[in-house]
Amino acid sequence: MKKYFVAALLAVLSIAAVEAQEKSALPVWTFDAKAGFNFGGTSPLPIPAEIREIRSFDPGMQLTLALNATRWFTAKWGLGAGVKFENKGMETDARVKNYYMEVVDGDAKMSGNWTGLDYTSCQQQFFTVPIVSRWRVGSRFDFNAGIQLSLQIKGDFSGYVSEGYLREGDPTGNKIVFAGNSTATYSFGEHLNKFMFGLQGGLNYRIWRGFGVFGDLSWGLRDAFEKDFDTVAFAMYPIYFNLGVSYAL
Amino acid sequence: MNVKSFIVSLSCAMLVGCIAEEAQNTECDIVEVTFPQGVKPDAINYFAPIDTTLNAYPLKIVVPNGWDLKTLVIVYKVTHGAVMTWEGSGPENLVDYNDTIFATVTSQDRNWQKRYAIMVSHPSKRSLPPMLSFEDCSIIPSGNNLYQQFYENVEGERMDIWASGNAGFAMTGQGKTLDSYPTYQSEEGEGINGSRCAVLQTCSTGGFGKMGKKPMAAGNMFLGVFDVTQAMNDALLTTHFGITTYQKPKTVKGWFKYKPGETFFRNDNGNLVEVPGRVDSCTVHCVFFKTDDELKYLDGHQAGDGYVDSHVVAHGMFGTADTVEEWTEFSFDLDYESYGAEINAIDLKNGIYKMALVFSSSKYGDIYEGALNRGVNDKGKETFLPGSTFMVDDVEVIFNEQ
Repeated sequence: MKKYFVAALLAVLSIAAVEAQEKSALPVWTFDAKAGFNFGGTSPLPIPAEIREIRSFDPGMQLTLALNATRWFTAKWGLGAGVKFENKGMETDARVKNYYMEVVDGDAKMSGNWTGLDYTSCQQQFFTVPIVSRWRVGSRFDFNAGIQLSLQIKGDFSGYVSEGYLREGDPTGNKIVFAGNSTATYSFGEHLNKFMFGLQGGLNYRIWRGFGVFGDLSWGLRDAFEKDFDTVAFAMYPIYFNLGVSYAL
Repeated sequence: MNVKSFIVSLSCAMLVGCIAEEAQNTECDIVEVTFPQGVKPDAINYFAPIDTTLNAYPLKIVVPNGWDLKTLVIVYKVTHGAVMTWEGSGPENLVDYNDTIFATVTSQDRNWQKRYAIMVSHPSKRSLPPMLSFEDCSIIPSGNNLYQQFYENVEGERMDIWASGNAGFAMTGQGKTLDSYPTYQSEEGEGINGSRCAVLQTCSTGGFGKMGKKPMAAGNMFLGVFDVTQAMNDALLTTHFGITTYQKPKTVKGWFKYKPGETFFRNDNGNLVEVPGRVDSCTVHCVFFKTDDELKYLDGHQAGDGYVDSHVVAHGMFGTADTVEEWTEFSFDLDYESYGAEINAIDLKNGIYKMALVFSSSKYGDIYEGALNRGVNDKGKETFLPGSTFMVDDVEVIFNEQ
C-alpha cells in the first residue's frame, strides 16, 4: 500500500518539475470551487464468493464541497492542491452465504457463519486534501491525476442481518434461525480508520465562462477498517465517483 | 429515468457483474429423515448439542410402539453436496435398534465433518424414577462456556428427560460460569437432606437479549426437548414439552425454596421497564396430553395460553409469590374433570399420551417478564444480577394404578 502511495506522489512531482521548465503567459495561479455528489461504495475487492446477490444498492446523496488552488508551471501543466469536505456512504442489501460475522456486546461475543440477508449502511464525513497534477487539453478540458489524503470527521458503519440463519462458531455449530422480524444488529463505526489515502483522477469540462462540470474517481488504497479489527473478514476499500459543477474563481 | 436512478441501476449492474462463483457448501448436517413406510415419529431434534461422552451429535428417532424396528426403512437427507458414511456395518445389519449407530457427514467442500450418534427406538418403556432428585447433570460446551443439563440416573441407566433453555442463554455470552445460567445444579449440601438440588434463576440476557427483544430468561426446567434453532426467532417454539407416559399422573409433590427478585420488569420491545410494587412468582405445571400424527409435543404457545388445547386431558399447577427460605413441600393434583376427556386405555398402553412437567422461576417468563436484582459487576459498572430464585428438589409424580 505504502509503495503505491510513494509512487503516485513521485509521479505527480516529477511531471510538475519537467513541465515547470516551459514558459507561459497565462496566470500562474488559478483557483476553483467545486460542488457535487459522491456515488460509490465501500466494498471488498474483488467481491468475495460469500456475497451471492446485491438485492439493492443506494449511494444516497453524498454532498461534496471543494476549493482548489493550482500553480501553473506552463500553459498546459500545473500542480494543484485543495481542501474538500465530502460525504461518502451507501446502503446495500445483499444476500450472503456462509459469511463470517461477529456481533460484540461488551465482553460478550456471538460469532459464526451467516447465511441470509445482510443490510449494511456506511456513512462517513471527511476533510480531504487532494494533491494532483493538472493537464489542460484545448480550451475547455483539463485532466487531473494524483493522490488524496483524508481525515474522517464522522463515521458510521452499521447494519443488521435477517431472514436466514447463523451457524454459531463454525459451520458445525448451533443453527440459529432468524425469520420474520427477528434481526441481529451490528455497529462497527468506531473501528473505521480515521486517516485514509488513495488515488484520484478525473476531468473538468468548461461550459461557459468559469462554469463547468467535473467527474473525479477516487480509489481508496487503505482498508476502511483498523488493522486489528477482524470482524469484517475482508478488507473494504472506498471507491467513489465524484460528479458535480465547478466554477473558476 | 432520472440521473440518480440511472446511477443506482448502473452501479447495481456493475456489482452484479462482480459476483464471484458460488463456493461449495461447508455445512454437514443430517437435515431430514423420512420414512417411506409412513411412520410418524416423535419430533426429531436435528440440532441437539454435542454429547461429549459419545463424542458425537445425538440424533434420536422415536418411532411409535407397534412399528417393527427391524423392518423399518429410514432415509437420511444431508446438506446439499455432503456425504454420509457409516461406521462399521451401518444400519443394514443392525439387529437391535436400541444400539447406537454412528455415521459421519462430510461437507461438500470436504473441510467440515459432523459425527452423529443415531438412536432409533420406541418410546422409553421405563417409568419415571420414583424420585426426581437432580443429583446428576452433564456439562455441555457452548462456544467458550459450559452449561449444565440434568438427567436422571435409574439403576445405572441414564434417562435424558430434562431440558432447559440454557442452550439459548449460552448464545448471549452472559453465562460465564455454570451458576450464572438460568438453570444449574447447586453445590452439595444446598439441596434437601444435604444433597444437591436444581436452581432456577431469572437472569438478564444482556445486549444480545435486548437486540433479540428477549431481555431476560426465567430459570426453567421441563420434561422434554429444547430446540435452540428457534431461540432468536419465535422462542416459544424452542420448548418441546412432554415425555411418553404409560400411566395417568395423579399428584405432583416436591420440595422448594423461593425468593422473588427485588425489582419486577416488563419487556418493552427488548427494553426492561420497571414495574414498581409488582412481585414475581414461581410456577410448577403438570400437563397430561394426548398426541396424534400432527401434535407430538406442546410448546410455549400452548403454555402461554394456560395449556388450553384440545389435546390436553389434565392439568395441575402450583405457584407462589411468597419468600420461602426453608425447604417446604408443595403438592397438587391434576384436574381431569374440567377437561372431561375420556382416557383411552389402549392408547395409554401404546404410548400415545405424554406428560409435561414445567418449572419456572418467573410465572411470566414466556413473555420476558420477571424480577431481577440490581447490582454492580466486577468492573464497578451497574448491571442486572439474577433475581427470582427457585430451588427445587425431590419431586415425585404419583400415578394412578392402571
